[in-house]
Amino acid sequence: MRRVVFSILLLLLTRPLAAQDLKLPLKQGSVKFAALGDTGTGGSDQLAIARMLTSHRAKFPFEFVLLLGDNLYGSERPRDYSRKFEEPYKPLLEAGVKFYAVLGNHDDPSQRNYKQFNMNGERYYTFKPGLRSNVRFFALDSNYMDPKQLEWFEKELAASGSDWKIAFFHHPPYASGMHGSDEILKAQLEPLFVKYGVNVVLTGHEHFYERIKPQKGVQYFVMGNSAKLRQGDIDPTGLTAVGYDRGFAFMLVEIVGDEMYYQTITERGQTVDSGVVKKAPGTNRVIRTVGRPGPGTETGPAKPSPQR
Amino acid sequence: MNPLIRALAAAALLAGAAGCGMLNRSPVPEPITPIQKATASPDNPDSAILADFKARLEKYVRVQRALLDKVPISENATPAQIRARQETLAAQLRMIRKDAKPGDILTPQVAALFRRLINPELKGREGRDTKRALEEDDGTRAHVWLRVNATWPESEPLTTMPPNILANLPQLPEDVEYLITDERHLLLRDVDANIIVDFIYHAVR
Repeated sequence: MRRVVFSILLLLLTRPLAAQDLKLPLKQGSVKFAALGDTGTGGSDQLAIARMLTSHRAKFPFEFVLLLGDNLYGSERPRDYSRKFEEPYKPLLEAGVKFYAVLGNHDDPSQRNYKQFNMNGERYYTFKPGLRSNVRFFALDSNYMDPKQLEWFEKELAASGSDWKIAFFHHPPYASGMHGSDEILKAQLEPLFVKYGVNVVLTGHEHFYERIKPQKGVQYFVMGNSAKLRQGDIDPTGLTAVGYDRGFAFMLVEIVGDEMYYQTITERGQTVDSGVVKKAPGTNRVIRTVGRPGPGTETGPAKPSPQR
Repeated sequence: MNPLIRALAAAALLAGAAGCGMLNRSPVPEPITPIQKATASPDNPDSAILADFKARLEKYVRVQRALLDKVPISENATPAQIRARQETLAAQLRMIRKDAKPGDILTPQVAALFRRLINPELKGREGRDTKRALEEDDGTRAHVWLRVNATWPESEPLTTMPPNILANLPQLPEDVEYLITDERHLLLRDVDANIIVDFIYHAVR
């Protein structure tokens, strides 16, 4: 009897928390995706996150994954593509999940020619998931933000009639870690985000998770701990809504009408942040982000510090 | 209403609206960048230096593109094919440019001009941000032994080029890019072949 009880306890303790705590609306026909940042180590932590992400797909059938840069650390020989990308995400790739990558500072631009990264040979590109979806994604190369790319981005934004405009790239314009906010990049990009109504920005580079308080109608997320971690690196500032630097994580995102639901989950299946970004249908600006920080997270001071 | 009175009323309304800022004013011209200044007038001595740089670079790019055309990449290229193409291209360029030396493209005149174009971005508070943007995760920059035709080492990150520096330098065709090393040398890197095309020592001070 004791052995049975022990087995049940063991089963409960070791059972992955996967999908137990899934809160997104899980509506049919919504846009569902995941986001991973700073993944390409080929190490056990990347594998743990990949396993947890895969297990969540049973309940949350996301169709694609955004890779936020540093897709392959170190050498980029054919075996590295296999060890640092194809093997960890094999079940997802086999299930037809598409990965859309951007280049990080550890990525050779030749990755743009790799079919599985869906970059179509370009360092920056845009795509819409499905003809009828109301979302457009803009993948940027923040390693090399030259005038040509900025011009392209502005032209694409101006031509985009989508309700939701989501930009993703590697270096965070806002972050509360060792690097802090990338002021130079922010000075170039933020005016375009504001002018053309970019709603959400997803970045990596800093090896932790951080949800920034909405800035000028834009919601920023830093998601750079999907395989690398810099523990204790977050120094919560007035910018920080929620920060998590104690473990690895990935994000699940679902867009339903004017609401974008998000849930950030660790390699152990624990939810460290979840909530909804709401935008105004008329102005298309983010009006509010509601979130529920999970255990082990940090939050910034209640009164925001003055913006630089 | 009398057409004259109607016209006067419309003019008064427009004048009032403009005074309240309701109408768009003529756009404020964008600040001219150093590179725009240098190329704005043929009388500017920098203009000739930049034209020379452009011609030298175009010569390189023509050769590179001719080689690339011979090794087209398929839409479904595997990592092995991507790698093989990069190595083939690098080997061919090394053979063709076996006598290439530092300064062939980034001549001493170009180097002096580039230093002038870069350095204003490294002063003051913005300068601190620019320098920080050049640093890697652990506060260091890529450590690379500079040699024309050498491969950019896989062990080193590709340093991020701050957008304000890129805005001050001549724009490059997509085949080549600027990079800055830990010793603050500026180099031209062939994006497809992953080799160093040319470099300037201590371009960033």
